[in-house]
This record gives sequence, structure tokens and C-alpha cells, in this order.
Amino acid sequence: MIDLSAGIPLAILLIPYGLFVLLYLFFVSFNLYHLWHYGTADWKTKTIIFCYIAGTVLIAYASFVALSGYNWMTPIDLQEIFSSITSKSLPSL
Amino acid sequence: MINSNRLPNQRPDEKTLLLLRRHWVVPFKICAFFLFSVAIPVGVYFLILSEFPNLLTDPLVGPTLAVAASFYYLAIWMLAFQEIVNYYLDMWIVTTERVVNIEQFGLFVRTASELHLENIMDVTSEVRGMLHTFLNYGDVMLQTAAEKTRFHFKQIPRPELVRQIILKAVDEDRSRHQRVATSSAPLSQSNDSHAH
Repeated sequence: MIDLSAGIPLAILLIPYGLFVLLYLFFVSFNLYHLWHYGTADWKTKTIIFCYIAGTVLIAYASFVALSGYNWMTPIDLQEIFSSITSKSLPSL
Repeated sequence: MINSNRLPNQRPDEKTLLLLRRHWVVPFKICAFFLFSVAIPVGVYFLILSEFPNLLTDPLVGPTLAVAASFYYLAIWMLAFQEIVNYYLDMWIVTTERVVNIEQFGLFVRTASELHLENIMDVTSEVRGMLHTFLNYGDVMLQTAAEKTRFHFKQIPRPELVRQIILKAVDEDRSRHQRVATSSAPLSQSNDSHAH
């Protein structure tokens, strides 16, 4: 039985996010391999690879800045959320 | 990396005539879709800021929206770039000896095939649609003796010009092969007479 009063830290949201980042890195590495291995030997391939990496770094940096400003140990009060949902959807209870 | 001047199994006298990719309208559509997708959360942000200003400072909703935004931008960057990689790695190379067809489908499927010019029976170009007509791009199909059209150049620029270049290359290849055949025929006949 889960003790709802204890609360779960907000950092739990970062678990699915982290899994998605791993999937993203898998895609990036495969695409970079394909570009490097099968692209034409000219400036276009290098430009595309540079843009891909630069875009990824930019999004990673912006995400880091946006996410680091929060206190991820804030507990999620499930009881309050459930009571709020119940009172809104089932007002007779 | 693929070098258009040094293809795999290239003959010493083989020259690359064309290296084709899809028309620029294809990456343009991908970029337009990407920019539109980037703008959506910005619009939502300003909507929340004007209608529910306290929502972003909420200790629970604020971080959840930040994670969702990061997730969203990574996802659209990944999808857009997957499409760009598919576009960039699809290419058709026409040389004085053969046609090479390279296509990338997603992350794990890649096909590469080649066709010698002497096997080409018919070359068809097709421009269908208003945008295709205005921007002059379309398809070119190469027909061999086999029933199935294996070589299909998709959405390439100036398909009619490409068709003419391929037909000219096919003609030159046939006449070159005929010259080689006629010049080697007396030699083989004399070899036969020596053997008898």
C-alpha cells in the first residue's frame, strides 16, 4: 500500500524524460553514422552534421537552464490532487 | 563517405554525369513544418502568461510544463532531422556506364542498386500537379526488360532534362559497345582460324 500522505518527489517526472533522452541519443548516433558513412564527401554533409549537433546542444542547454531553476525535491501531494479531481468531477461526493 | 568521382567498382573511363537528389521543395516543406511546430509552444506560453499568469510559477505545474516543452522540442528536432537525413541520403547517380539508385527508409532500411545503361529499354519523365509544373520537378522512371520498374527517380528537379541526358548516355553507351564488338570480332575470328 502506497502512503499517499508522504508524497513523491517531483523528480519522478525526470525518469520518463531521461528514458526519452536515451532514445533520442540512440537516434542521433544512428543518423550521424548514416550521414558520415553514406553521405557525399563534400561540405553539405559536414554542414548537416554540424547543424544536427548544434541543434541538439542548443536544445540540451536550453532544457538544462529551464529545468535547473526548479526544486525537484518538492513532494507531489497525491491526496490533494485526487481530492481536487474528485471534488471537480464528482461534486456530490 | 560517397565520392561522386570515385564510385565503388568504377571503371577507369567511367565518368559521373548526374548526382541527383529530390527537389529543394522537399527539405523546404520539412523546415516549414519544423518552424510551425516550434512556434506552437511559444503561442501556448504567451496564452498561459496572459490568461493564467500564476500557473507558470506553481511549484508543480511549472516544472511539469518545462519537462513537457523540452520533451516536445527534442521530439520535433529528432523527427525533422530524421526526414532531412532520409532526404539527403536518397540519391541517384548517372554515369557513362550505369545508374546507381540509393534510398534510405527510416533508421534501419537502406537499399542500393545499380543498372547498366545497356539494359535500359525506356525512360519516362512525369511532371504531375500545379506546384510540380511551376517549380519544374517530377519523377523519372527507367524501364528495363523486366516487368517491374526498379529505378524510379522521385521528385527530382528538371525531369525532362534528366530524361534526355540518360537517353543520350544510353545511346553513347550502345554505340561504344558496338564499336568494341566490331573491333574485337576480326580478332576472335582469326583466333578461331588459328585454333582450327
